[in-house]
Amino acid sequence: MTQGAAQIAADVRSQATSARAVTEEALARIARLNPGLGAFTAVTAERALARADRVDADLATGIDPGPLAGVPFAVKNLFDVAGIATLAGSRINRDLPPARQDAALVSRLEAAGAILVGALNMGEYAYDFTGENAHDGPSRNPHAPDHMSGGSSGGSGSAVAAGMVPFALCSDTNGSIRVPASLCGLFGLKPTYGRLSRARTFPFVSSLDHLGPVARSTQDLALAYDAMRGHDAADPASAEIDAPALAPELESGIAGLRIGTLGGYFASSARPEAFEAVTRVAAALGARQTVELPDVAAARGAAYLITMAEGAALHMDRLRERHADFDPDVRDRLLAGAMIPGAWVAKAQKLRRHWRERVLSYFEKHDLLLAPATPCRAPRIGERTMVLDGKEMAVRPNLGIFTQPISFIGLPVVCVPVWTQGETLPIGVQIIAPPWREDLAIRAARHLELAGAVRAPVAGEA
Amino acid sequence: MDPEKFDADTMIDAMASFLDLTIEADYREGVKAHLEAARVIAVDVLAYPTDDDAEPAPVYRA
Repeated sequence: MTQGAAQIAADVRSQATSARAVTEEALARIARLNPGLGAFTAVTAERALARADRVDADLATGIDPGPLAGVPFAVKNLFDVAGIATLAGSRINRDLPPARQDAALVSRLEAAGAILVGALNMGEYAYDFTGENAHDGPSRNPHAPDHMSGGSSGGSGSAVAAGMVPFALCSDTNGSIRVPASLCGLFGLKPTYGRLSRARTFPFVSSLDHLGPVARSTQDLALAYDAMRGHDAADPASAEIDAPALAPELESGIAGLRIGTLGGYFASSARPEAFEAVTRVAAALGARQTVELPDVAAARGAAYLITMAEGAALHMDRLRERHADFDPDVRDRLLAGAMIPGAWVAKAQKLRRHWRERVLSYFEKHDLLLAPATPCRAPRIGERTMVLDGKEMAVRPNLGIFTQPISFIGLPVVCVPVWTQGETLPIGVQIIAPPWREDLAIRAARHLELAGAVRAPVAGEA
Repeated sequence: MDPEKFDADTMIDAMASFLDLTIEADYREGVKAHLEAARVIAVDVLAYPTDDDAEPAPVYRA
């Protein structure tokens, strides 16, 4: 399953191959690779093969199965999948009844011909940047299996980088699409807050939760997004706003785009490779200006506090009644979050609106802004601390120091994977656009891909 | 805020009682570390100037 979604769909639609053959190949690859990588927590083989047969039957009778015909995909296990419990990475949710209906985005992808092959490992309740899980074991980085996949959508990163599926769905509250994309060397799209429906997914921090795909090409990212876009009344945060397709924009190039590189906060507290990656991307995009946003540490702090408090509020009953069943790392943060004063959270939400207005003013002079995605390449599994700028910091909360301030104000981001000479692990760069302008970010990502500045090979083919 | 004036243990005991939460001895240190980290992070947040009529963004619109 090392082909991309676009190629698979073209081959299935032209009947050069069948959806069943593609699905069987994906299931065989998952069976072979997953025991060593821990990406999947459930494989929906029976459902997938039935769905594949339906796609093939449609094609045989002249019915168009859609632009993702026969393309296997998988979802972080906080997406509802009819017939299985929505774990959200937890032990506690194993006691829930099976979901009765698929998540909205799963339904939309299957309506476009895609085939769900399973649910993916993740950090417990999405409060994680490592991809480790106390109950299911870690999802591993296919490029170096003793290293982290990144979290919390670790299984999504692992499955796509290993070529088990061409794309996977993730959630991103503070960086959980972009951190695994960076550590596993993938393209990741975190759309604007309110862009993609969160209906029938297990929440974390509803005022910060986003959903989106990771893939190995910009074309596949666009295909997946295009099939999922559009308002959904079942998600109260879903925006009633036009959602143009991205695929037609891919080849529009970057002529006329004003691109800046974020300095200040985004140019400190990271290892040199994070800045080297940004420099390389900036050079390939012709970005010469440095832009310094104000008060980024305060903005990140506000996101941090809102996350602690809202996360704790969501899990309060479980913290009271099932505290021994949590992943200890998650439980301790949530318990602390339960004790945070309401005044801090109210202040953080005021800061959020105010800071958003200030940051949006920078887009009057720039169309896109660049920043590192993570402060380092994938740490080793189990590593608890890292040294950045001579200061020892905890790995788990700080892999997201560059992603957290951006999602805090809902800006769309395409994360692109950079490989430097001789390196066995990649690192990502965020291409940040104004609200609702995912098209600008993906055009720049596509330009970089065509220029060879970024790439997302299947592990083993790097 | 003066870090010297913060006694995490006293707060944990009071809030655990107030919220009917159990804090077992083996994870008290973890909770304490996160509370102390939050208090450091809150300094920048609380120092950020906002007017009395500043609107919060609980349901955020990008």
